[in-house]
Amino acid sequence: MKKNFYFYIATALMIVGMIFTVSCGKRVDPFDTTSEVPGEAGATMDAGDEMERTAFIARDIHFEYDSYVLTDEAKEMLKGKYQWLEKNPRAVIVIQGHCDERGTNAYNLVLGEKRAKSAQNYLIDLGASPVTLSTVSFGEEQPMDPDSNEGAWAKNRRAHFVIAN
Amino acid sequence: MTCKKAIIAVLLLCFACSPIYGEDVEYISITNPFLRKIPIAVTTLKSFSDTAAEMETARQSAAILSKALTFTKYFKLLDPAAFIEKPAEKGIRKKEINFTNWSGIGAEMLITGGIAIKSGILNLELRLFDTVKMTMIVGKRYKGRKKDLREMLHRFCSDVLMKLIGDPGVFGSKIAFVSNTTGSKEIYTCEFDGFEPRRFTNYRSISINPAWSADGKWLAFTSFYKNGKPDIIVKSVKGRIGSIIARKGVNVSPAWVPKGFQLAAALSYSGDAEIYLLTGRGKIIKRLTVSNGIDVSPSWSPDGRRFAFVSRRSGTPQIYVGDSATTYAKRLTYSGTDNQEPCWSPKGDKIAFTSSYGSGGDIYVIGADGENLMQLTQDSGYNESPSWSPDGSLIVFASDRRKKKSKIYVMTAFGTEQQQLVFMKGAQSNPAWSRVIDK
Repeated sequence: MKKNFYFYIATALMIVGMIFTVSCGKRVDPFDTTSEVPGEAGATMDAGDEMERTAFIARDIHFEYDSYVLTDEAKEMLKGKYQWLEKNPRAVIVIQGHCDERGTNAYNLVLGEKRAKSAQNYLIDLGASPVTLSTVSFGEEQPMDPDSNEGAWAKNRRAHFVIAN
Repeated sequence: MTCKKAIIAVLLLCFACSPIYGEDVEYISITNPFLRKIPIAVTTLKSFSDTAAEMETARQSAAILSKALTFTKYFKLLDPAAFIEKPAEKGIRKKEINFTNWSGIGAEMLITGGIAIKSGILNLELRLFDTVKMTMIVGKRYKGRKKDLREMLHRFCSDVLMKLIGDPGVFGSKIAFVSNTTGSKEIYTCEFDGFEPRRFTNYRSISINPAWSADGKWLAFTSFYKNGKPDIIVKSVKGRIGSIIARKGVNVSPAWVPKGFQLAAALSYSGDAEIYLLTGRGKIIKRLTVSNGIDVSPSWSPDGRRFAFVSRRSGTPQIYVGDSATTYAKRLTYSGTDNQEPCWSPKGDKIAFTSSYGSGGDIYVIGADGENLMQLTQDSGYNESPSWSPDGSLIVFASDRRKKKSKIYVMTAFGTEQQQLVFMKGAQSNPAWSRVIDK
C-alpha cells in the first residue's frame, strides 16, 4: 500500500520531469536543476532523487567509431546507472542505440542495436532485471547534433536511456 | 551475352560510319561504350493534319525524344540549327530524305516521325535511319491516348536501343528513394529520369531503404511507422500493405529475389543480425548467413543463386558473396576498411558498393570474381547507395557533394557524366532502380 503511494508520486514527478525535459527542447543539465517540484504535499522524493533521475536520463554513454565495445568510461557510467536502477526497481527502461551519420542507414540500425545491447547486457551482468530493460535502435536517424564533424559524430555515437513508465 | 552484343553493335556502328578507325575498334568499345557517342539528328515530327495542337505535340515530341536519347548517354544530339533539311515539311520517309544532307552535317543517324491526333487518340510513326548506309534501321507505328505521349516515345527509344545494342535500356523503369521534404523521411518514386517524383508513404515516421520487387509491383522498405522500431513493410505500388516483418530487434535491408515474391533481409531476432530468405508475406524460408557479428544489406545475383552482402566477421565491414544453397560465403573486398551496400549488376558481372573513409565515401565497382576494382566517384563528399539501371548501363546514387546536402545523382557504369537526377527540396537518399516495369 505504502509502496503504491510512492509509486504514484514517483510517476507524477516523472511526468512533470518529462514535460520539463521535452519542452526545453534540449537536455536539462542535471546539476543545474533548481526547479521546485510542484503538487504533492509531503512528497517523499526530494530534490536529490530528482537530480539522480534526471542524470540517469541525461547522461548518454558514448562509443568509438564503428564500435559497440563499452569503453572504461562507459562501464563506469553504467555502474552509476545500475545504482539508480537498484533504487528504482519499478522503472521501465528503454535503451536507445544511436550512430553517427557515417556508414549506411541499414548497417547503422544494426550497429545501434549492438550498442544498446552492449549497455543492456552490462547492466544485466551487474544484476539488473532483464524484464525492465529493453532496447531499440535508431541507427543514424536521430542525431543529437546534425553537424558533420568529429565533435558532432562523437556526441551521436551513443546509448541513450529513456524511462518509459 | 547482351554485353557482347552491345560491344558488337558499337563496333558495327564504327565500321559503318568511319571505316578508317576500323582497326582501333577494340580500344573504342570494350573499356567504355560511352566514350564515343553516336551523333544523331532528331527532327521535329510531321503533323499529318496540320492542326495547331498537333504541331505543338510534334515539337514537344522531338524534345522528349532528344532528352530520352541523351539520357542513355549513347548518343550525341546534333543542334537542330545545323539541319539543312526539314523532314516535317519535305517528308519523313526514306525516299523523301537526302541522306547526304545529314551525313554532311555529321549525323550518323537520323530520326524522323509523324503525328496524327484524332478524337484524343494519338497515332505516331517513327523511323530511325543510318545516314551513311542510307537505310532504315527501325520503323514503327504507335497508337495510344494523348496523355501517353511520353511513354509512346520512350517505347520507340527502347526499340531503337534494342536494335542497336540488344537491350531495351532504362525506359519504363522507376527509381524509389527517400526524401525528408515533408520533415520526416518518406519513400518516394519517380520515373527513370527523375521525372514526376511522387510521395509513396505518408507515415510521418522514419522510412528508409526502399527495394523493388522484380515485377515492379511491390516495394519493401524499413520503417519505424508501425512499432517505433525498424520493421520491414511490404507494400504494393498501388498502396496496399502486403505484410509487415516485425520480429524482435531490427528488421532491415530488404532485397527481393530476381524472380518471385520472396526477399532476403537482415533480422536480429536471434540476437545477432543475420540474413534470412523470407516470403513476401514475411514467413522465414531459411537462414542464409551464419557468423558472429553484423551481417546486413544483401543483393542478389541475377540468377538468384548467390547474394552479395556486408559482414563484419573479419573486423571491419566488407563485401562478401554468399551462396543461397549453403551458408558458405567468400570475402570479395580487401582494400578499404568500410565497404558497404553492395548492388549486384543486372548483367551479373559486377558489384557496385560504397567504400567510406574518415570524411567521405565513394562508389566502387568490382567484378563478381573479385577482380578489376574500379573507383567511380572521388573528392566529392559522401557518395552512397549505388543502384544499377535495369540494363546495367547507368548507376544511380546519393551524394552530398553540393552544400553537404544529400541529393540523387546518376552516372554511367564507368563513373562518367555524373549529374543530379532528382530536384526536390530537402535531402534525398537511398535510391533504388527498378527493372523495366510492364504495364
